Amino acid sequence: MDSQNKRMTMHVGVDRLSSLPDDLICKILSSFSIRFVIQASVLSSRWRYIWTSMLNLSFSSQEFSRLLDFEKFLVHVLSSCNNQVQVSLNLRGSVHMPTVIRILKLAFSHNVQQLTYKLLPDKKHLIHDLPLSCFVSQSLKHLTLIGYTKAGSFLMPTSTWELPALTTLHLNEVKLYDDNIAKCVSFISKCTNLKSLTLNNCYRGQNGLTISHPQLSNLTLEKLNTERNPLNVVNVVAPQLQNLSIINCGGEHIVSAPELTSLIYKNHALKLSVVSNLYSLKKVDLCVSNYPYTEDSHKLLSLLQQFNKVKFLTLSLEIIELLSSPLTLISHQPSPFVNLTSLRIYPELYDEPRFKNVMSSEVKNYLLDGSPKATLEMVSRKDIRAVRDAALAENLMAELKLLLDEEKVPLKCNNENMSQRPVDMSRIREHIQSCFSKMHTQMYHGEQKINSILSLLEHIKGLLRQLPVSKKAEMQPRFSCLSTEANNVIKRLWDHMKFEHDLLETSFDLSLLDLGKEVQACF
Amino acid sequence: MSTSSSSSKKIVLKSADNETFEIDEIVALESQAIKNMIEDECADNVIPLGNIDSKTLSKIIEYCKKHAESPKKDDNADIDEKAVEDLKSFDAEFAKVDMPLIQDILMAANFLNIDNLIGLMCRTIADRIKGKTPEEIRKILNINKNDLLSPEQEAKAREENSWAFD
Repeated sequence: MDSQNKRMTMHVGVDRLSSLPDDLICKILSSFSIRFVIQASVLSSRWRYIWTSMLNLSFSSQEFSRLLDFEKFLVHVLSSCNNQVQVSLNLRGSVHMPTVIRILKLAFSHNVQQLTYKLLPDKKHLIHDLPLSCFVSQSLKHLTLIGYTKAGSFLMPTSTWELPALTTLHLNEVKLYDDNIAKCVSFISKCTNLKSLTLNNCYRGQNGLTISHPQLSNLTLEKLNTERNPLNVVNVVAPQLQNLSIINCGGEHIVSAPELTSLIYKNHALKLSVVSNLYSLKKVDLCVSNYPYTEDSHKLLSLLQQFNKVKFLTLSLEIIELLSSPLTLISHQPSPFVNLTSLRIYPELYDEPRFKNVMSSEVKNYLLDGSPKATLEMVSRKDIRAVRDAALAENLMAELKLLLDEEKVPLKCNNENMSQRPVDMSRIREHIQSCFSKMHTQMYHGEQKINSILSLLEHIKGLLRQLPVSKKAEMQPRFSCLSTEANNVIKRLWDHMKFEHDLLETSFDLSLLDLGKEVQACF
Repeated sequence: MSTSSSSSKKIVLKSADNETFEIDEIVALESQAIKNMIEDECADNVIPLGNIDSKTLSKIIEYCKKHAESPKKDDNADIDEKAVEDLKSFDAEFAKVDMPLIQDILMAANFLNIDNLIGLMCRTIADRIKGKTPEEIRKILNINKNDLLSPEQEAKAREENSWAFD
């Protein structure tokens, strides 16, 4: 260690970082929690007030043990920072609603531009009854609402939102309809500047949904669930829409978007109709994952006809199968595509060997004859599996990291057991009983945590084993790091449990000794 | 995307310790600052970089070469996943150097305005101080003892935001 220190001092001598401009120091701190950023204020005089000049200060209420502390801190920050601040509220269903509403009003009154409101998993399964109508702001540009099914999802307001500056809206696990009128509310009609809308895992009720907006340019619909009636229709009417993704949504989709340049449609079945022209369309990714229904093939042909201007076309193997089934349909038809530069075919269900990874010459001619210069790429099952497994392993590792980081917070011990030593027998019994129940809960939580860490590790290991060598080699170091970290965390959890156990033992011991002494004193 | 004609043009960079580096113009263009100089035609044959030593400069050139070579994200084509992965692992390897050099690279990248490299160095520093105590961070960043807060100042800083120090 000594030699390393010497080398360091020889090489550095000065603290270079402190001579950096504020914005770079802020950049370094930007990935940290606000708690860490505030802690950094004691590093040196250079770091003392850095946090007040951070551009994107992200508050997460999760870092505060009490919501009132968070409110106090927010008041402090909003009055001392002139910059745009980004507020994120991560709350459990059981929080005190009036405080939440006060915090929101506070944020809006300070012209906050970016707000994330996330519900956390809550054991009590409480309905989180946040009145979304309290979202009224002239400045809010980006809004993300993330519900949590088991904690109760958000309900959209029955009136339209007054958010004239809003450009990005992301809704996750939000109920988009009102039970009383059983109809989706056109909540975005007064968000005149909205450019980008994402609906993920939202419930859209049984009477369908219309998304109609004159300015909207990006729209993503993912896992848009319906209740009871899976056959209702989603209508998209967006004259400025450029990018549209419809992924894993049940039901029929009718789209009018004459400016569309990119379309991604990935669903079980082909339930898409386009009622406008598509002169600007450049990129299409079309995929059905279910066994193709032959009755869809007419629909597919007319869709492909509408895509005739497309340059980059990606089709799932299941679509190819659909094209092949009634060959008579395409055999005497000219290829619709005249601008195609690349065609990519991939198997969506990579563990479904039913469809061979080949294309008949009729289908090939139909797709490629109009564009002789287009390139064709057939992605193999193995490749697509490797890509997806790698992505999954990547996600799981991030999840594990999060889990482990959570456990790094110093564990608090229950010293209270020691502080008051009960004297009479019934108290001793009560006391020991409560110690046991505390121990049980602790053991239970400890076991749960350790189990979830272990199962994540196992899952990732399984995925890594199947990856191609180069990918494996790349991910292996991170995985070993995580394993070591997991090992330490588990060891700490275990030690902590042991410590608590020892405490219990001592307190048990002491209490009974006292009892003995008491009896002795009676003589 | 680069054309073959532009790749033949050479630029010479001179470090603080008077070492010269001849590189393709396309590599130098990774630096927004040099790009501006070339566009404004105020760059001579040799660009002197009086505040960057040769060790730092050669690292930076290594970075720019790799990033200039690899295909840029393009609206027209699907981003080549392999190239992206390759670049990622290059970046990870590149950042495995000691803290003084990282700080030097960051300073120089800031001066030369190489956005990706600034980001990479900031992330690297963040990773190294993550989860560390103030004392450990001072050591890692080699913060000067004279700049430390007085006990009273530190107490005040902790008092102001006591919730963060529980």
